[in-house]
Amino acid sequence: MKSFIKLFSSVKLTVFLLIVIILATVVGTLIPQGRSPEAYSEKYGNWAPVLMNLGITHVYRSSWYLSLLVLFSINIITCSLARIKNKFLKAFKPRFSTQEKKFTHLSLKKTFESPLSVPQAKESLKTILNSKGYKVREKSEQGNVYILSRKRSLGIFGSDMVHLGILVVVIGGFLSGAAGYRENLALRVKETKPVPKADFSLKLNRFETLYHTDGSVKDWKSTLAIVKNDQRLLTKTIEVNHPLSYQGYVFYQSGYGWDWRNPGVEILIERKSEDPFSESIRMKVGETTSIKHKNIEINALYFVPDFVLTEENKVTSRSLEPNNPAVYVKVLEKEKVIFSGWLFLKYPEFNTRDHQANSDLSLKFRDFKAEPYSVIQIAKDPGVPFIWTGCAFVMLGLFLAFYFIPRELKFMIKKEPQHTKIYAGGIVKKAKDSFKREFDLIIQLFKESK
Amino acid sequence: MTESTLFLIAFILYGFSAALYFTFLFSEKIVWAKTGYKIIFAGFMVHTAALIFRTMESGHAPFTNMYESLSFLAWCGAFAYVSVEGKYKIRKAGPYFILIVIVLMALASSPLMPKEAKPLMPALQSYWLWLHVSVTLLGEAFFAMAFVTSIMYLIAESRKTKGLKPKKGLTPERLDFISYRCVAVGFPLFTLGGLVFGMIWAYKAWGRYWGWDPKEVWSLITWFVFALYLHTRLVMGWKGKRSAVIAVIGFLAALFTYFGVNYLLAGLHSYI
Repeated sequence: MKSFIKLFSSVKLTVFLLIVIILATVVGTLIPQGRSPEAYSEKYGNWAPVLMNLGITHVYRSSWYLSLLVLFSINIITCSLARIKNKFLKAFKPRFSTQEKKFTHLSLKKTFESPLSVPQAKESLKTILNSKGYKVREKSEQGNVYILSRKRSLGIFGSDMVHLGILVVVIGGFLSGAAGYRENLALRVKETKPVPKADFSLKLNRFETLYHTDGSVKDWKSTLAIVKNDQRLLTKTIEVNHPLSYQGYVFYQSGYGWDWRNPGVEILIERKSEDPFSESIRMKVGETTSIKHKNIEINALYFVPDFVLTEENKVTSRSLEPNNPAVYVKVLEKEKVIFSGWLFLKYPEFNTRDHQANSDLSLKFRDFKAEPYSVIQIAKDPGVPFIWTGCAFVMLGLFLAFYFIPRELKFMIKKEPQHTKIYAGGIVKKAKDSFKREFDLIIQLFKESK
Repeated sequence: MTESTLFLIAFILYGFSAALYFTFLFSEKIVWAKTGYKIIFAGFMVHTAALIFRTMESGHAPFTNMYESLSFLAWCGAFAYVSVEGKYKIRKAGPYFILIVIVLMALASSPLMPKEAKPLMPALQSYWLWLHVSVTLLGEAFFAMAFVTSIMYLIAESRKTKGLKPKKGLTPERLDFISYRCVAVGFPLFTLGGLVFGMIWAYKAWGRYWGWDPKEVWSLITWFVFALYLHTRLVMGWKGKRSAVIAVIGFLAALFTYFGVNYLLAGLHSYI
């Protein structure tokens, strides 16, 4: 046990662990993480199983990486505990020795004489020190007065605060990893779906996409309602960067799309000669419809939102965005095919004609209507409050450690035959320049006092 | 006056200032450095105006693409230099540091960097963009400052071991101290901007505060390296050479976080 404490309270171990953690973390960015076994076999060949078994393909979730973090945390805890008692004593019950050399052997010092009597000098010093925010302790021995004054004593706890913060963050991280979950839910407008692992449902009331003037997406807005037993409990419009929180669940605007399975299309069909007509038809893809009083049937067979031909001359959709919507249509007259081909919404001049008996027939793809849906990410992460608390501790601790540096001033006021002699000195570890300025100022103020 | 004109003027002023500082380095006449300081200060003010113009024109924070980001980092560098020199009179470090600022300005003006302000994608429309990027880059500018003084320290030390006469001006001890002070400013800023604000924004925009995205991981690595710097220095008393080497590694990690990750590792941050 003793050797355990000795090992884990050493800063050498901290340095060692930091170096190992740095190297391990770097490795995780050099090898792609979390890919499929096939992807690794293709890239690393025979090495792939080795890498996977060692966890190098998922460093940050591997047991050895997490063990390193645990060791590091134990190191932080032991180090802090081993030092905290002395720090408390130092901050709240400082040693106050009246040995002369404790006043004369200081890094910052000045000795001078004063016409004031010992009690006068003491009072004057105390007033000045108090006005500068110092807490003053004093002792008298054989007519001499000793002053120990300190300020910003809490500064020595800066590093402990940072360490506590890091521990809280690590705890939060483990909690998130163990108990957090996130899931995507695609909702069409007016659709309600149950929230996984919760006793309420989510309804999408409204969804809109806002665009910049150049056509790029500016934002998505989803008006969500929390529904429980057919009762609406809460309604809020969320957008990117502005999620909705409800009972520990957070709902994010994470994506959007259209339901391309059977969109509605509007097609203009015209014939000028021989039994002329002009008709605009609305129908769903997959359906067949006929033109009134004519023996003509139209069949919308396929739809792609972003038409592209592959190298093998196959039709496919480049993306799920309606960049180049196209519909494949077949027209029959008296059960005989008179037209079949692709119609393009944006490029009607490229309409294809696989089969056309009557060249006078013209078709135009005028509009389409697909149901948009909003993708909502649902997250529940019990680690989050720990993370923010930990971060606050870390920042406060860093501020204390770097900018709230303890200062200690000591004075020995000695009675000598003709006058009073004052030995002034200060102890400071960091930021010496500004401390020296304050020290000089205090002595100057004292010399000017009456 | 347009943003690009102001940017160009600032660029020229920085170059002029560097020339003056180099003259100071060779002539040892302090007046050159003093003038150089005034010129870099002027350059900094003009650059500030350029950033304000840019913000007004585009309607969003002036660091949403590589050009803007480089220009802003150069501005942070100028700010770091002006403030550190104002406090510690590190004139000898001036020419080298301003050279870094100039390299950043040159990269920003390279034709490879698209300069037009584009509308922001949804995830970037947040005031956290301001907080996260500005504080992080300011922290990184101070790391760069520590890098320059650490390299100067290492050179001064190697001159000493070779038995060469030390150069006038900054002593190795002073360089070591200033390097530490720069880390003492940079580290809390980087922690706040890079890690804390980054996590808060990631949580708001993506629904998770941490996702082991390469940029996130490299920020953490940078943070670990400077944590190592502070522990070895403050607890184990490693001053001087070893300390300087860690500061240099830390800056290189920060540099990789800023540049390398975008070009070498794919991730969510790839829009900058």
